[in-house]
Amino acid sequence: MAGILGSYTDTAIGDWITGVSGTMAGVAPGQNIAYYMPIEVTRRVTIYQAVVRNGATVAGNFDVGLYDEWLNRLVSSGSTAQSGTNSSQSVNITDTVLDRGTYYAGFASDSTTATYRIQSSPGLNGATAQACGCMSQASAFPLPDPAVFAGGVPANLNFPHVCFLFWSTLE
Amino acid sequence: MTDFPSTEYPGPTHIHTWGKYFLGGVDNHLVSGYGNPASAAWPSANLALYWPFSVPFHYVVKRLFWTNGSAAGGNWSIGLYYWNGTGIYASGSTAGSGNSQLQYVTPGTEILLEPNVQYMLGLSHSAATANQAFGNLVSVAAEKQSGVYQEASAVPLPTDATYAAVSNTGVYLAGITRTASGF
Repeated sequence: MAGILGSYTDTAIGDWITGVSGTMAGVAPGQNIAYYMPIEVTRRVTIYQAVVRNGATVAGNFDVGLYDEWLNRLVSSGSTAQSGTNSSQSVNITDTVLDRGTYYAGFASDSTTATYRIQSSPGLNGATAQACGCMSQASAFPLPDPAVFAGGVPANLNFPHVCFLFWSTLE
Repeated sequence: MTDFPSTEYPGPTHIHTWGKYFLGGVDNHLVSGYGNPASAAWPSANLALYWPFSVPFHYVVKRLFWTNGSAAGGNWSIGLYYWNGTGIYASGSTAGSGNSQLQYVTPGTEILLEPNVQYMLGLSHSAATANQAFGNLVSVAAEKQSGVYQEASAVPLPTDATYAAVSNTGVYLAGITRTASGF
């Protein structure tokens, strides 16, 4: 079977963010800021492609990847030129097997102006993001290995829409 | 000990009162239907609120947390109970500190939650002062429908809970985590 692990699905921060009346819009996430969003994996899957959603302004590069619970980077796209306004952009990544567990989707852009589709959720602040297990990291382009959680609430809240395509077989 | 390593899913790092494991998994709809979460006053001084939850996996609780509003203050107590009120853990009275921050307490020993058991997360606060708490004004009717209870004069939380019918609005942001640090 095939499917999607997404930062805004009920496997991730969508657990809360999609529960409030927010709107999705193109927002500049900030230059060289890495965003980490937890994703639950409840069965063994193999991810093979990452997808971001671009806004109306395309510029610079992004890096999208996946980390394990201990913040080790498992796979990433590397610096990738953003391309295609108001559309999804897919990037092939090394096939990576994920066992059951918690992982972090990571995203960073090196542009000050590039926009990505981001959920604007009323009530979202550092505390609510942290309660969902989310974190941000400054000066983190390309995505670092490992990620570093400095403690405290995330300083940045423009968590972008990131997802991974996967396939799996019966266990 | 088994000869085979466990591959059981350990659960998310954080489980909170607005998430899918709380309130029968329907609170997202309640939150969306009753306004946006924001800093607010606790409903009544020394009131405890109890929110039901269960998890479909074993879960190791290393810390519990609540969310301070934009003007942190007063004293908090947080705890875990079985559905019948029998206590598992209750923190002491703890001064609220850190505006718009999560505040964690660490039990003396880790707490193992069993899958598919109904638990209650209890949270109490000493004052009904503006912006010391952070929550969402879910209606009393919706709370009753979701199995929320309350208890008066409960700072710190009692060893065992005595549930009373809820009559105050609010699902406040609190929860449990299996992380010992990093957040």
